[in-house]
Amino acid sequence: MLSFRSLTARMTFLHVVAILITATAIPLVLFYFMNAAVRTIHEQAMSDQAEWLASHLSRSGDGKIALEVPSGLRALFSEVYGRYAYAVLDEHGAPLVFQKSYSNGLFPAHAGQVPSGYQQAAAGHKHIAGVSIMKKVGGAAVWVQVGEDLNHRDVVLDDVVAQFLQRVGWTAIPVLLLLATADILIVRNAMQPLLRASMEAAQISPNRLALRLSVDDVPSEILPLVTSINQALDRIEEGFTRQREFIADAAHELRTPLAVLRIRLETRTDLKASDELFRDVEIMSRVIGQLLDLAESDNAHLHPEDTAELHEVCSEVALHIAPLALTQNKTVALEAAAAPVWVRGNAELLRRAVRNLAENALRHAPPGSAVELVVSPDAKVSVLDRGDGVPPSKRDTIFQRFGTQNPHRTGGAGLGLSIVKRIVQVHQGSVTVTSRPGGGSQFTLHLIAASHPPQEDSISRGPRRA
Amino acid sequence: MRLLIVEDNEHLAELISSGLRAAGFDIDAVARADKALTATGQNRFDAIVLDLGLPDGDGMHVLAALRQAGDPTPVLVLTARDGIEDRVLGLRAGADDYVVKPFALAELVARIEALLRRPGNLLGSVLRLGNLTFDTQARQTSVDGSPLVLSLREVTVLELLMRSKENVIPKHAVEDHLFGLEEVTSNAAEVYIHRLRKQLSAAGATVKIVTVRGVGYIMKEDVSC
Repeated sequence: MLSFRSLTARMTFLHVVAILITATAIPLVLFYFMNAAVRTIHEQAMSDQAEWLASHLSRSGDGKIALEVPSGLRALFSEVYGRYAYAVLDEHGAPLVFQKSYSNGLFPAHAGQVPSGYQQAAAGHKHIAGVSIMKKVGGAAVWVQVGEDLNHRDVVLDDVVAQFLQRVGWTAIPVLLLLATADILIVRNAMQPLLRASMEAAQISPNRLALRLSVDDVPSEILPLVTSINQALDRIEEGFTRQREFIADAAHELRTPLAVLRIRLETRTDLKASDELFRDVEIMSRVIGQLLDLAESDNAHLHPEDTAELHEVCSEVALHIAPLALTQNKTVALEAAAAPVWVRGNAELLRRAVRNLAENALRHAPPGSAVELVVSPDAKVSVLDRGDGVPPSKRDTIFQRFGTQNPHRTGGAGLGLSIVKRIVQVHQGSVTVTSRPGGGSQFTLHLIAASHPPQEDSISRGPRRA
Repeated sequence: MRLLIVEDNEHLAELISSGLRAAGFDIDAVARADKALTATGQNRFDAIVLDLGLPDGDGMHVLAALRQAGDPTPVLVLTARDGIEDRVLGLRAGADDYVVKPFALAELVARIEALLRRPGNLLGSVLRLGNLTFDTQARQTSVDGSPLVLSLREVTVLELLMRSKENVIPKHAVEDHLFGLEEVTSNAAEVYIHRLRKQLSAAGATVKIVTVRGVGYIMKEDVSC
């Protein structure tokens, strides 16, 4: 059994099969009916001739049967011509009047029984078809048989049949091909709503769960499928939302006990190694903050009119992390053109992305080196460090959740870069990582330039850090 | 100075209360939104420390109700939420400041001090870093106890750097303090920082002014001296 992955191919194939069957069956049926019609006409003609011959039969006083073939028809029935033949048999099949070739009659008796009605018989190389009818001649019953050699018969009827079939054939083939082409177009047209629905479905991802398949113009046969998919998406979206809310709620709930822990450490001077405990609290706070960032960036939606200025975003980040860098004997530097660089996006989200890159760079930067933030006029931000760099094999995995290069490294939960990736996705941008000449990594955010600086707006620009 | 603490976690409420009492404040603490509104209706507080997640409602509603009633008491919001919108919403609803959990008690005290416009009270009016001291009242600078004579603008920069403690001062903030709305040349701040560095180092001060390139300046104790 042939199996097709494509519905169009399957439907086209089945249509072609149907067309072939039709194309064969129609001529066969026509041929059969025409032959039947030809036979009926032939039988009628033969019967007429038999009746006409019978009217020329006479019976003499001694009971002999004689046939006087009218002079006009003698040539037709002559044996030389050979097309038509006749015979007259008595009741039991004994020949009374016959031509030389048919001494036993055209359709001889079997076991004393003379066949009646339309008959066919082979005689030598001839194929005789005709009728055998019983007539009364002067009180005696006789069989009158008239036949025609079909191998030599009047060709008119056969020609009609043959020609008809040829014409039907030559007309039918293009019509059927046209039909097949029309079928393909019809099927493709009918598939359109399905193709559209699949294209819409391809847009749906965990980050874009709010999308639904459109039910406008969907044929009623496909509508139940589309509706069911939409309902399934409703349930999936609800599940996702609940899970994100759970992450956010869990992180929130952890912050209060963490605040208690931190203040207890602060007020208990008798604890040994309290610096380490403080650092542990800091790490836990960071991880919780990142979980929240991640949950929030997963749910983040960008308004089309949101714009942000990269210089401002980066200088906030630099201000924020510089004190930490200095305590680690590292520095932070910001390089930016004097002209503002406006991009499409939410300033607060972008600040988080750059901050995560900068914190990541700071963790890898060796003491004495600088983490550089570079704003390019073509809507790009790069964060550069002089750390060990990222091997090409790890360049994809580092952006996965908990996909940190070194699982034993402290301080990073492995969430920072996945937050960055998610935020650039929201911004329809990308993040790349390359090696720097002289060692270290360069992470670059590629964003979309905004053509118009917007009105000052505290929401779109996000809250400023002091 | 009397403060109202609205915090439903009793451990946290207790720790904050005792910490703030130690810093010299009188403390009333409540754990519910309705009690917070009753308390503010009956008493006058100098400032309110408000947790946003309360068992009987969002602290934001307490804030909105206070502001609607025309109560101008400074409110410092404590929150576990620091979402993109949360901060903006909180400040819009009339919060005066915002502290995200977990926080250092010292930071909370400093923020409350700032809200009450009593800068320097807790730290004293004399700022210290290394062997450098600056008396904010007398506007007197000294290194190891010996007075150091600085120009008015150098003093302005010095005070800015010493007050900021652990934070980087953006270059434009230095310029704003020095020249107000006057037009400045691009290296004006750099010039005064440079002069101040020379003066401090000549006087033997154990501090350094670090330039954060493209960002600003920070004063740190120079441990290498």
